[in-house]
Amino acid sequence: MSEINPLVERELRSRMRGPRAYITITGFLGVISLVALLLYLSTAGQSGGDANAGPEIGRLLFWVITIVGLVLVALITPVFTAGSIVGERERQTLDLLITSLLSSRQIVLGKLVAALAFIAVLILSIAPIISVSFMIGGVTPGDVIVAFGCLAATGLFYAAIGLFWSSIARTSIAATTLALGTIVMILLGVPFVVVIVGITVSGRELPEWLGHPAAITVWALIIDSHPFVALALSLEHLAAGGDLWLQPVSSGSPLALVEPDGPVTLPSPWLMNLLVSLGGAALLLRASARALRPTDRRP
Amino acid sequence: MAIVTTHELTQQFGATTALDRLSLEIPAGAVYGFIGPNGAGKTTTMRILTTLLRPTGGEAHVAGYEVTRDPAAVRAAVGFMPDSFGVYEGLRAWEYLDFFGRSFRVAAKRRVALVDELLELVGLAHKRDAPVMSLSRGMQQRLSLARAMIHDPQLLILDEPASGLDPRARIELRELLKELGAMGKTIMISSHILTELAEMCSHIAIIERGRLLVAGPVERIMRSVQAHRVLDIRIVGDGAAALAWLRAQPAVRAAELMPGDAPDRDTLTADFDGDDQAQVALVRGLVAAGIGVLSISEARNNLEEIFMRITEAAP
Repeated sequence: MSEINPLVERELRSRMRGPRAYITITGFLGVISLVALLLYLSTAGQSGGDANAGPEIGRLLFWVITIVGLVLVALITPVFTAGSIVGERERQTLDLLITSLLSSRQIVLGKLVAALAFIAVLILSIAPIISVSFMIGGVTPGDVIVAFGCLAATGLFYAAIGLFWSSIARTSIAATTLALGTIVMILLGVPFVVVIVGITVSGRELPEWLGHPAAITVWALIIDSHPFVALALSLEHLAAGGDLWLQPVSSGSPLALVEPDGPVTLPSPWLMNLLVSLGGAALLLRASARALRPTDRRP
Repeated sequence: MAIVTTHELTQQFGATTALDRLSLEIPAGAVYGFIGPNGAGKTTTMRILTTLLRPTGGEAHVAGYEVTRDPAAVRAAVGFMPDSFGVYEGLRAWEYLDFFGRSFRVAAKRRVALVDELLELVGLAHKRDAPVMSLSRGMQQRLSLARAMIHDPQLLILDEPASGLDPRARIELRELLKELGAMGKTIMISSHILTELAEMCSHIAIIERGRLLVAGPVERIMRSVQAHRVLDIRIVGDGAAALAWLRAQPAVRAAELMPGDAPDRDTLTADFDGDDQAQVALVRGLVAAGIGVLSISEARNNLEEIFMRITEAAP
C-alpha cells in the first residue's frame, strides 16, 4: 500500500503540536459564533413572536454565517500557504527537500493538501453553528451544497494563490503580502470591471457577437470568479426557485450584455466559480512546481 | 572507478565566474577534501553536484548520471549535508529521520530499524524522542549527517560540516567521518579547518577563484610540494654529538636540536633528501654510531602549509 505524502503528515504533525492551530480555530469559531449570536438576537427581537418568521431567520442566519466563513477562509487560507514553501527556504530546509526524491509536484501538492486539510477542519468546525439554522428551518439541501461548494472552491483557489507566491518570493512577508494583494485585487477588481463595463455599455449600440454563447460564458466566468458575487447570485437564483445546477441566461440577465443569439443555459454561478477556481488552482500549482526546481528545466 | 567526474564545469553569475572550467575526479571510496578560501567555488561545485544549481557550461557526472539530464538518479545517489542545519519545529529526532526516509522512498519496514541504526551510529540513540530544536549544534550536525545517509547514498557531500561547532563537537564529528571513511563511504567534504581534513582525507583538491589548482591523493600532493621529508628523531644521550653526526650525512640538508621532554632526552629534526633505502641506511648509521635512538618518525606535512604554498604559487 502506498504511503501518504510525507509532507502532509509532517506539516499536520508540526502544525497541530503548536498552539497556533488551536488559537486559529478558536478565533475563527469565536468570530462566527459572535456574528451568529448578534444576528439571531436582533432578528428574533424584530420578529416579535411571528411564528412564520422562523424559516426566514434560519435562512438569513445560514447565509450570514456562510459569508463570514467565506471572508475568513479568503483571508486565512493564503496566509497559511504563502508561508509554506518560502518558509522552508527561510528555515534552510528547502534544499533538503529539493535534493530528496520527492517530485516538485509532490512537494507542492503536499503543501497544498496539508493547508487544505486544516482549512477543511475550519470549514467543518462551522457545522455545529450552522446546525442552529437547520433547527430554526428555512435552509434547503441546495443551500448547503452551494455554501460548502463556494467555501471549498475559494479555499482551494486562494490556497493555490498563496502557494504560487510562496514558491517565487524570497521572504514569507513578501509572499503573504503578494498573496493577500492578489486576493484583494480579485475581490475589488471583478466588481470594478463589472461596474466599468456596465457604465461603458449603458445606452450604447453593442456588437452582436456579445450575444454569442461563448461571449456570454466568458463574461459569466469573469463575474462568477468572485466568490461573494457567485454566492449572492446563487442565493438569488435558488430563492427564485431556480435549479441548483443550471441557470438559463435570458435577455435582461446581468450575464447578457446584449440579446442572446438563442437560448443559453450555463452552470449555476457557484459551479462557474468552482470551475474558475479549479482551473486557476491547476495553473498556479503547475507554475509553483516549475518554480520550485528551475534546475530541472532544460534551457 | 570515479564516482564523480566533472569536465570543464563552468558557472557564471552575471559577469562573475564562480567556476572556471573545473575538471576533477573523485574515486569511489575516497574521502575527498575540497579546500579553498571563501568564494573559491566550493559550495557552487557542491550545489551543481547535488542538482541545486544548473551549470552554465561543462558537464558533471555523479555515479554515472549527468546532473542536468538525470537529476532524480543523481539525487538518489547523493546524500547532501549543507552548511546550515534546517530546523523543523515540533519534530522529534526520530521523526526528522523518518520524514526524510519517506522522502527518499525507504520502505516502511526498513525505515523503523534504519532510523534507530543511524541514531546509534551518530551517537544520538539517547536523544531519539528529543525535539530537534532542543539538540545542541553539534548534535544537530550529527543528526543532519544521519539524515544524509538515510537512503544509503553512494556519495556523501558535506559542505563545511564543522562550521560553527565547538572543539568537542568538532572532534566528535571528525571521528564519525573517519569511521564512515573506514566503512568505505565516498565522502566529499569542504572545510576551512585544514588540520581536520588532513587527518581524515585520502584525496584533496585545492580550488581558488573557481579554478582547480591541484587535486589527487594527499601523499602524492605532499611529495610534489615538498620532495624531501622531515624526520623527527628522539634520542637518549648526547644530543650535540648526534646533531654533528646527522649534519655530516650527505642526504641530510639541515638538522636541528630541539629540547627533549626529559633532561637526558633530545629531539632532532632532520630535513632529509633521500629515498626509502637511504632512510633505512640513515637509521642503521645512527645505531652504529652509538646514538641511543628512542624513536624515529616521518613528520606529516601540514595541510595548511601545502595549501599556502600552492595558493601562493598560483597565478
